[in-house]
Amino acid sequence: MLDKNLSRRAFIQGAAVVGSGLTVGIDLASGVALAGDAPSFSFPNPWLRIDAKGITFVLDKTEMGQGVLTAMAMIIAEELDVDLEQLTIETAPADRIYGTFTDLGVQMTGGSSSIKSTWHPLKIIGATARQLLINAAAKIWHVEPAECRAESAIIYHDVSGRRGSYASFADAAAQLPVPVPTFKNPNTYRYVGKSRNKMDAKAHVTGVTKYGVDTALDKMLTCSIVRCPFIGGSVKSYEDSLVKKSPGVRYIIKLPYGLAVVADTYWQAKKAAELLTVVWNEGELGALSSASIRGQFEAGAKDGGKKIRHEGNIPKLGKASKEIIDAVYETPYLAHATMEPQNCVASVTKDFCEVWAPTQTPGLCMEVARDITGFSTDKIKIHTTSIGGGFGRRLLADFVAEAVTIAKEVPAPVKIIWSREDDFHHDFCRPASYNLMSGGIDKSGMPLYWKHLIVSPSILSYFIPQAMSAMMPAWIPVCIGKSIGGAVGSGFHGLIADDTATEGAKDLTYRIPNIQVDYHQVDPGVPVGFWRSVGHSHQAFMVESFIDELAHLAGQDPYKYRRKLLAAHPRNLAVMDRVAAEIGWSRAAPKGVFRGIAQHSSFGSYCAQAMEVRVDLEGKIKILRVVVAFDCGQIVNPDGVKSQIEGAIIFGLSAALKGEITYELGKVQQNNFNDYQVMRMNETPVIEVHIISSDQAAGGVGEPGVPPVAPALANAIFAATGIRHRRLPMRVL
Amino acid sequence: MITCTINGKKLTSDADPETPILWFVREHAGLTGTKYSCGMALCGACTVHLNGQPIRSCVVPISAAEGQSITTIEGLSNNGLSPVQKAWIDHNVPQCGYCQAGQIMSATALLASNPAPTDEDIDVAMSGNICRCGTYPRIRAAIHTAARNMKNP
Ligand code: FES
Ligand code: FES
Repeated sequence: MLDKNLSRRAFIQGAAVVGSGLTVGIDLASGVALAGDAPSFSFPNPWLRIDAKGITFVLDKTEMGQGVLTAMAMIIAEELDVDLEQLTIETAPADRIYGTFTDLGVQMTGGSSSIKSTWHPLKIIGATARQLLINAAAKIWHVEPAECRAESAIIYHDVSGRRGSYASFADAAAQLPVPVPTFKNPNTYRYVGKSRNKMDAKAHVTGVTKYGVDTALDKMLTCSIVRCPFIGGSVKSYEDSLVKKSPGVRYIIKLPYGLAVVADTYWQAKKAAELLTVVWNEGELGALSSASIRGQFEAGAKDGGKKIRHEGNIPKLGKASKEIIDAVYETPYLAHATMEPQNCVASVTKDFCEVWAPTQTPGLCMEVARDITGFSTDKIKIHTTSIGGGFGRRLLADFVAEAVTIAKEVPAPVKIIWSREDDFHHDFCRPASYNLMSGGIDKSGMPLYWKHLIVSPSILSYFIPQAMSAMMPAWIPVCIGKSIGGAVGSGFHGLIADDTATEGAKDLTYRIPNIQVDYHQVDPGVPVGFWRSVGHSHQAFMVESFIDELAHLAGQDPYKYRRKLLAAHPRNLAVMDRVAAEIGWSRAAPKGVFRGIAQHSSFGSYCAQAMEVRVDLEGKIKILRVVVAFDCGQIVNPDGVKSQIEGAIIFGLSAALKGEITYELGKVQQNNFNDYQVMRMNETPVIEVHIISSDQAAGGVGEPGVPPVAPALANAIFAATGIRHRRLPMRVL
Repeated sequence: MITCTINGKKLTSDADPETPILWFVREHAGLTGTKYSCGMALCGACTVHLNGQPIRSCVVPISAAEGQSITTIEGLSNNGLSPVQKAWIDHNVPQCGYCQAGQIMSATALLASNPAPTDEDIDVAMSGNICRCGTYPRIRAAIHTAARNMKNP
């Protein structure tokens, strides 16, 4: 893992003329998993170019609605002293160098890490470029740099009245030694910390934005795939004579798990695909059902788990406690359901492969294409498109692998489009989890012990084999990278605990003298993946519901109870206090209105939520109001943060109230938005977001709003009805 | 042969008359602002106007548009941004943006028939449009703003 405090180790490697002009990038000196990739390290990665064409900021992150494009541009514009409108934004190609600032060393956008990991590098790049240009101007004008100032891409020497544009000094600046940058005084910030509408909003509202599925190339064909409905199943036999005769159909390509019908248009391909008759092999999971999965979890729980966090001495405490609660908590598999279904365009010729992918991991797409074509990376080009929702689904590159595999067989570019049904049936779901919770309180009502056994599949055992070759130095042949990945991935099975299943549970923030958190990995074989806030998305539900249970067991106010246990966590405490103040916790709720509260920290940020609900005569719950307090340290774009939190609340409510992927006879039972419901306008409560600004390091924004939603709601429902929901989704609407 | 008007332009095509309007505008007319997401009239991403009425274009065949007029997001305004689009930008509504063409087409149709919608009116008109990014609160606010601005331009 990389040292997060980049400023100490990061330095500007060089500034060089590229064609003409100035290119500035940043490189890390050592400790980076990519060491040995000489060609990439010999030039500074191009994040910023200033030349006759203007000022170009190269965005290496995927914009998927989280506002990273705007926020990163704001940081650069701030330190570079240019107007935001003066920046041209260009999407970075897939290049290993852009993996430098991610946890896994793969070029990716995930883990709420974009601003956290690029805040310092972008500041350094912007400030260094500004200083270089000033130094160049000063040299040409024979004056002291200190007498010059920069503003809106112009350098001024006020004493003599001279001025010149950045572009006019770019070539000269490229010849100068790289200075140590001086950062702007935050009090003089023009952009950072001030709300800014998204730079791509206009393109979105006029239908101009090009998502992956909108890619259109000359002679491109489009493909619909008939997939085996059984998880892990395959094609046994098929009859396609009617398909071949169907209008527009060009190719039928057999894949291990299905048949790809390639036609002139999507509609032709889809219509023709309906004429296929296929006999399937069910594979090994033909008998799998949600009930059998639950049985596996229950059996796993009986065997206990591996030690994740043990403090104090649990065994004798049951008896020492005044009262105890034992409870089973369960969360389901969940689909991502991005509004844009998976899709990809690929073109493979004799010696070149091009891919247009709505992806969160261009680095992984590159490796997948390299693996399937056998081409070297200089013969592969990955274009990252805008994406219609990621939520972790597009960290996987399965749909890219599929497009490249099909394109290899077709002498034209091919676009694959998954149907919504494909998307639900073949997702890499948020893993389900089964939890045994046990807690006891002492005479004063305070917790004496906390025991939590998590039974859940491992995400990394699916992701690592895919990602490993992207993390290896480029000179390692792909087959070796893959086999190492496979070894590491299968090594996860039972050998080491996977953080993504226990995060949020193991970092319990409450002061409890005896804590035992264990994990038992049980893998029913269903593909699983990262899902907005990952392990926190389910573990916050257990932790924040169960602490509420202990508070009620002690007969104490759940907010005040938590307060007493959070002294060592001032930022958790501060968001709790703020949310309690904003919802008016100390005052009685209006008649018939009930409140619940929860707090959780994840991805370096702190979030507390309080909700107000009402129960109608039929026992249905109406959520009236959600109040949020959020501390993500340094803030770049406050309204951007606010909109991410609003979105996270609604995303979290969909999961808490509706989301569930179930299995029967080896198949996913949900098909479309009729049987996998999500929140809609008429169900959306009032959402109030209060941001606590601080000068602490930037934390994540996209994900930390999700985890507290389910427990805050469950706690409010308990307050309203006395019913403790220990299983999601809570079907109470 | 199908003949219809899309965004004011007359178009003739020999496409299969059963082709849903969604795929016709995307693949035959080359207008990709209208989006596919569910294909079953469940999400609203594909909403366009047929003679001014909002329809889920994924389930309406192009034959139904014979001699009729279709408006897509690209044709919503021929001089700059429409009041709805402006309000969308002012409220910083879009996140990923994928659902927003459908949202804007639904909202525009609502405002055309009801210049001062209440929250309940908005619920009724907009609940067929899913946004997975969760922009509903801003959509609601933007519709109220657009309504005000259309009354007092
Ligand atoms: S794509 Fe037409 S309603 Fe969803
Ligand atoms: S803005 Fe992403 S789905 Fe609505």
